[in-house]
Amino acid sequence: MPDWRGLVRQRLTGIQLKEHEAAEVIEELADHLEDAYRSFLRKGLLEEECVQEVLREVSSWRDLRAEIESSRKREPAMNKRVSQFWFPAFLTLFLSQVALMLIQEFGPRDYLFAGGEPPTHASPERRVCRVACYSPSDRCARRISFRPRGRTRQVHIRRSHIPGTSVFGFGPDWLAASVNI
Amino acid sequence: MIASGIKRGTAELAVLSVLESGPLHGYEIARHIEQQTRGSLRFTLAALYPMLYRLEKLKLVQGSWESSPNGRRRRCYRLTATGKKKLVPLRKEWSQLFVALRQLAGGSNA
Repeated sequence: MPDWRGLVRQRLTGIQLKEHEAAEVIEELADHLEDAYRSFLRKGLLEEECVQEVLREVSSWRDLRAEIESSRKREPAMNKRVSQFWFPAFLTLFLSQVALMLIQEFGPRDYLFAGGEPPTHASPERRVCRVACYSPSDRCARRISFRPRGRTRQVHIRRSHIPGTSVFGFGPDWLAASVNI
Repeated sequence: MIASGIKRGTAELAVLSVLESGPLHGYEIARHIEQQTRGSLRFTLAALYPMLYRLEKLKLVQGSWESSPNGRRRRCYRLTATGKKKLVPLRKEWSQLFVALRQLAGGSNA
């Protein structure tokens, strides 16, 4: 009796599944081949002929490996578009808004340059703070966008879109301040 | 023997149908399909298992390891409630297709 487990294990080497899952798949496929082999033996074929017949069950082990991988892998909770673009984009927007609120609350006081008068526009200190906040939130979003692995070109295209969202967060306020100046 | 392209489309129906009678392991599923279709449909290992795993992921079938009386551990598949529900419209769709194809074939012969 041929070692069907060994054969299947060898042919499916490098299958991208968890260790216990791969072991289960190997055991199951080996069982199938063994059953087929016994069935051919019962039909009166010679052992060598049986092995040849059984091996015909799989024309391409590489294709089978790829099909098993894709059929057993769990679908990610977020699809690529969501995980690489929308999620980082909204996170950037959220972070930039939080940063703006923090600047408003704890940032430098406008009266430093306004000479004690109520400010009519955003102070230079505040604008410096906003620009300083832009970089970390943008970097954070880029990193999140890059984490879910995709084709490099797609990831770079998405990464180039992300800074736009943090500008969207800071933009209106910055524009208002500029117009006032 | 039916061509592999057509067979692939009918595979889901074939597997769910044979599992309706009770739980079976992979090799038995393949043999049941072959016997019930008198050899017209034959699923190789390469065609059967990726599909079984896909059906399992869709929760139409459920696989579990069971020990046979001779002590051999086998992975048996059974139809889930979702699978049973899915089988009804699936059968209807396919029978409509067969009727349509028969009409088409009859029309061209006439």
